Amino acid sequence: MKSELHKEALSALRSGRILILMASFLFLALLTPTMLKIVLPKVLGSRIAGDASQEIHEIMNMTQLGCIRSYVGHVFEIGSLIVAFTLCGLTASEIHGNTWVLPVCAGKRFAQMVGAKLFIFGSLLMITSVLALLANYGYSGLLFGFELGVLPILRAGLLQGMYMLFLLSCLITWGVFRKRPIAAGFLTLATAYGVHLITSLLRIHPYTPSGLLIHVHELTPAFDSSLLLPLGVTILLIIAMALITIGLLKRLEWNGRSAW
Amino acid sequence: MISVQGLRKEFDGFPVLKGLDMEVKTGEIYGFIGQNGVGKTTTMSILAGLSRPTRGTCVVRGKDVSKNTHPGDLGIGYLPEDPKFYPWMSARETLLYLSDAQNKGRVQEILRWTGLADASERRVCGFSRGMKQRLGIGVALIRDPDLFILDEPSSALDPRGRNEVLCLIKDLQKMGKTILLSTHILDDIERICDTVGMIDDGRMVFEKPLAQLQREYRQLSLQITSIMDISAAAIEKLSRLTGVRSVTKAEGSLTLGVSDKTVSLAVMALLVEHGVAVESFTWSKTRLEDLFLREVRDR
Repeated sequence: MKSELHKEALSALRSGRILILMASFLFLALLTPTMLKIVLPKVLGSRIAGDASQEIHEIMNMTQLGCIRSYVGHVFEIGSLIVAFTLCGLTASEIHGNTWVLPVCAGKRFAQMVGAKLFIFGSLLMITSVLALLANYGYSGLLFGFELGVLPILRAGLLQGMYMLFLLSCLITWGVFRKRPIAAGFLTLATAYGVHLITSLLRIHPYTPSGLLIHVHELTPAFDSSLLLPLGVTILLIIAMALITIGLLKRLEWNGRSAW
Repeated sequence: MISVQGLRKEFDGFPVLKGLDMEVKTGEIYGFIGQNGVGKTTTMSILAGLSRPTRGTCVVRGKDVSKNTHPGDLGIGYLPEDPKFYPWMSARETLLYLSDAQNKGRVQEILRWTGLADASERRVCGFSRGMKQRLGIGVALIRDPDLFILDEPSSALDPRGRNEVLCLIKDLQKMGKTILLSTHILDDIERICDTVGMIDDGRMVFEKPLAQLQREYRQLSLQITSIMDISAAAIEKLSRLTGVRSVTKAEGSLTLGVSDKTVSLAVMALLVEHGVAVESFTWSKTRLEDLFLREVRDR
């Protein structure tokens, strides 16, 4: 298992995935306060002449809380896209490119291979989510004034990371199903947005992984009992998808030329 | 070591293997030959536990590979036709990863053995195909298995590299290992193999010890090149000579299949009698390649 973890860590580092994820999330985290404080009022102000321009500034009385909530919304919309297309090849490329043939023949176990991917890239997403949210918190605090403690931010970051872990599981599972990175990416996005949409219509989304995002949005410091259900469901889904992935991999046929 | 009976493999209903039988004995080097697309790689994938047969039995080292066995449990050193590595890993990192970093001494020994010691810290993405092939052989060696399945191990190598790989395979045999290899280079088969199996259209055409094959098919032939055309009358008389089995005429040359070299005296005398100005006499023996081409042509 140690060698698997080492290999995945090297992969994350040398394939540039760490850099892409960190840079994208930090960019988003720092761009949101800048947009809300400087760019958006200027754009709106330039379109509305005279005294009305001042009114726009007053109407858009943005706070740190509002800014962080805006960023959290962006993470669901844009961050999911970034995660899906940065990590879409995690399993699909291994199968499509036959890079798993030699490790499998050398005795590597699918459970270890999938587990190592979940652990390394899950940790990466968790750390990225927390760091980006902290960056957003710090910068929005500087621009709008601090009105929150760090604890709600850490809680929100961890919950957001957990949601990203759910996306990662989808990517890993769809990658084994479809064996094409881009297809895995699109199917993951369809799953994430689809689950959110359907469960919202059925009013059950507080009990699904999307429910985690509601708690992220709340930005409260407490880990109350209402969190247990979406957290438990998300963890169960992650475990279930990992087991499905391992089962699929065991049934998969490999060939020196291609896998099917 | 390997026993295959009635092996069938279909892809979406299309049969690739149609009842293949083969037997690889412990300690031998088995050469698996056949044209492109007749099922060699599919057979090897099944034997390595990477693919499952549609029907038939396939026992490798006493284990039935059709029963969902993990390839790693078969104790095989497998080299695919086109081994794929992580391009961002170095050769040393690749071997350490695949050996679970358990025996660094062995990794070093394999790097030396495969001639990659100097390039061990370079990333695989910068390797030539030959170097990747050597690394693939190194990977097959890493767990010190007693059975090797090598799909075209020397195909991407230069003559020197090829020779080294053949010597390496011979060394493995001396260490008591069993090797099943496929190749298009039939001279390699003649150099190192004990048994040869030829597959065509998903079935085994023949499977014989190389020595027996050579006894049965190796024919002595005499190629005569002349400055002028050899007349039909001379050819007719040559074909009737004692010891001459066959006469094949090509442009500017004549090939006689003969029983032994003493026939040459009678042949020369007859050519002189007919006033044929001979440019060269060349003795040759039927090679495995000739046999392969004949089998392919006849089918």
